[in-house]
Amino acid sequence: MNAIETTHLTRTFGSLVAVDDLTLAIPEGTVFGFLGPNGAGKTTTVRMLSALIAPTRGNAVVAGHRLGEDNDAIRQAVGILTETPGLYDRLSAWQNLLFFAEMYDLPAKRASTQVERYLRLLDLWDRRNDKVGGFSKGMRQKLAIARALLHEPKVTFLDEPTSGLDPEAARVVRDFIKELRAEGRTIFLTTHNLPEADELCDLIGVFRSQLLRLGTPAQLRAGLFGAGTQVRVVGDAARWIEAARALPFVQGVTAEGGTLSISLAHPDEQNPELVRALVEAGAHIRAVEPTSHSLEEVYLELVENTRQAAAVSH
Amino acid sequence: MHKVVVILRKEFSEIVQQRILLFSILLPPLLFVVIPLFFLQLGGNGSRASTLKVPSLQGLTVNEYRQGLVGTEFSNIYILLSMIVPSIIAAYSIIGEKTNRTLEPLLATPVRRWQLLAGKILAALLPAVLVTWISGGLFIVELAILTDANVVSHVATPGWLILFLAGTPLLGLIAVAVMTAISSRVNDTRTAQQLSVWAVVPIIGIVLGELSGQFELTALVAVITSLILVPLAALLTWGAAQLFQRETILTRWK
Repeated sequence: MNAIETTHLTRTFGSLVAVDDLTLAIPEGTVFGFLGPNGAGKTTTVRMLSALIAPTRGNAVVAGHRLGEDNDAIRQAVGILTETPGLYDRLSAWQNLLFFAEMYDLPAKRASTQVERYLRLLDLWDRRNDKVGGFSKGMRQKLAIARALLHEPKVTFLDEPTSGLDPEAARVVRDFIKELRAEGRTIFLTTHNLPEADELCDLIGVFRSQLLRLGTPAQLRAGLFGAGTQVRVVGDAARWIEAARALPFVQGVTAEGGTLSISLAHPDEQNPELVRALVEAGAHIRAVEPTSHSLEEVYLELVENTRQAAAVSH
Repeated sequence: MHKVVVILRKEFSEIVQQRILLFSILLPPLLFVVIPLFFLQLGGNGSRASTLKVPSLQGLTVNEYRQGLVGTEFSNIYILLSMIVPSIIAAYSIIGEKTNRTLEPLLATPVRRWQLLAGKILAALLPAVLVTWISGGLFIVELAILTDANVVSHVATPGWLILFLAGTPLLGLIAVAVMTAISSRVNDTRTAQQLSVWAVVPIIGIVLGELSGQFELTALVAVITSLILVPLAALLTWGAAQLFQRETILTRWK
C-alpha cells in the first residue's frame, strides 16, 4: 500500500508554476528522498501534502486520506519538521513538546509518556526543564524532530533535517532517521545533502518544479550513466581494450592508467566471462569492482540537463 | 474547546516569561490608578471647572466639580485601556509566532482555524479585560475614599458603568482584530503597536466630546454605543478570521 500518492498535483502562485503535474507513489515504510535545487518547489510540495496549502490542480492521497476532503485527518496522520525548527524559546523542552502533544489530541497521560520517550530517545531528557532559547542548534533540531514524531504519524516530512548542523549533530540526526527507517516508518526527506540522501533513502525523486527522475539510488545511477565494471590491472590498461571489446556483450571500454572502465548491461552476470577473457588474454587483474557514480553526479547531470532543455525551449 | 484551553495555557506561559510584556501590561493600569491620587490631593481654585460644562457633573459644588472632572477624565482612560492592553499582547503573540517561525508547525497540527484564533484572541482579551476591570474598580474605590460624597455617583454613572463593563470587552476584541490584520503585514511588534494606535483615535474623540460638553454619556448612549460595537467587533473578528487561514498565513503574510 502507498503512503503517499499524487496525481497531476500542481500548484501555481500567479504566473509562477511552483509544482507542475507531480505524479508520484511512495510505498509505506519507504524513506523517500526529495532532491532539488533551491526554489524547485519542494517546500510547496510538502506543504500541499501536509494539508497546509491547497493544490491548484490534481489530487493526492496521504496516509489513506484524500487531500482537500479529509485535511484534518491528514494533519493528524502526518508529522512535519519544517525548514526552521520553530520552537517556543521561552518555554522549556518539556513544555514545547507537551503543547504539541496536546495539539495532536494525545490524552494527557499518553502525551506525558510520549514526551518523555522522545526526550530520552534524543538525549534531551536531562535538559527537559531548560528553556529552549538556550539550546544549541543541534538540540533544537532534535527537539523539532521529536515534535514531529510525538503522535506517531504514519508519514513524517523532514525538511532539511541536518541543514546547518555540525557533523556530530548531523550524524546523530541521521542515525535517528535510520532507526525510524528500521521501525518501518514512511519518511519524506527533503534534502540538499546528496550523500545523506544516498545513505538514508530507499527511493529518490529528483525535482525541479517537475519530477525529473524517480527511482532507487542504484536505478538513478544506472539509468543515467549505465551500469558497468571497473577492472584494475597491472600495468597500462589500454593494452587490454581490444580483448574486452571483442566480447559481444561489452557496450563500451575506456582505459585510464591501470583501470579499464567497461559498460555492461548486466554486470553481475557478465563479469565472470569478462574476467576470464582478460585473464586468457594475459592481463594480471588486481581488482574488479562496479563502476560507481555518486548521487551528486546523478543529481547534477539531471538538473543540468533540465536547465539546458529549458534554455533550448526558450 | 480543549485545544483553545491548551493554546491559552501556552500563551499565558509565554506571557509570564516576558518581563517587558508583563511590564507593558501592568504599568499603564497601575499608573492610571496612582496618578489620580495626586490630582485629587492637589486641590485647586475651580476656575477650569467653571469653564467646562461636563453634563454629568452638573449640580456639584465647585470643589466636587473639580474632583469630578479629574474622576471623569481618568474614568475614560479605563475605556481606552481596554484597547491598549490587548493590542500589546496580541502584537507579541502573533508577530512573535511569525518571527520565531512557530506558526507553520502549529498550523500543521489538526487545530481548527477558529480554535487557534479563539485561543489567540482570548489570550489577549482576558488579561486585558481583567486588568481593566480590576484597575477601574480600584479607581472607583479610590474616588469613593478620597472625594466628597456626591462625586462617585457623578463619575461612575450608569452610562460609564455600562460602557466599562459591556463595552470594554468589545473594544478589546476590536483592538485584537485590528492587531491581527496589522500583524499579517508587519514583522515588528513596535511597528504594529504604533499602527494600532489609530484604532484608539475614535475613542479619544468620544472622550474629548464628553469632556467638552458636547454630549453626555447617559445609560442610553452607552447601550447604543455597546450595541454598535457588537456588529463592529463581529465584522472585524470575521475579517481577522479571513486573514487567519492556513493558506493565507503561509503564502501571503509578510
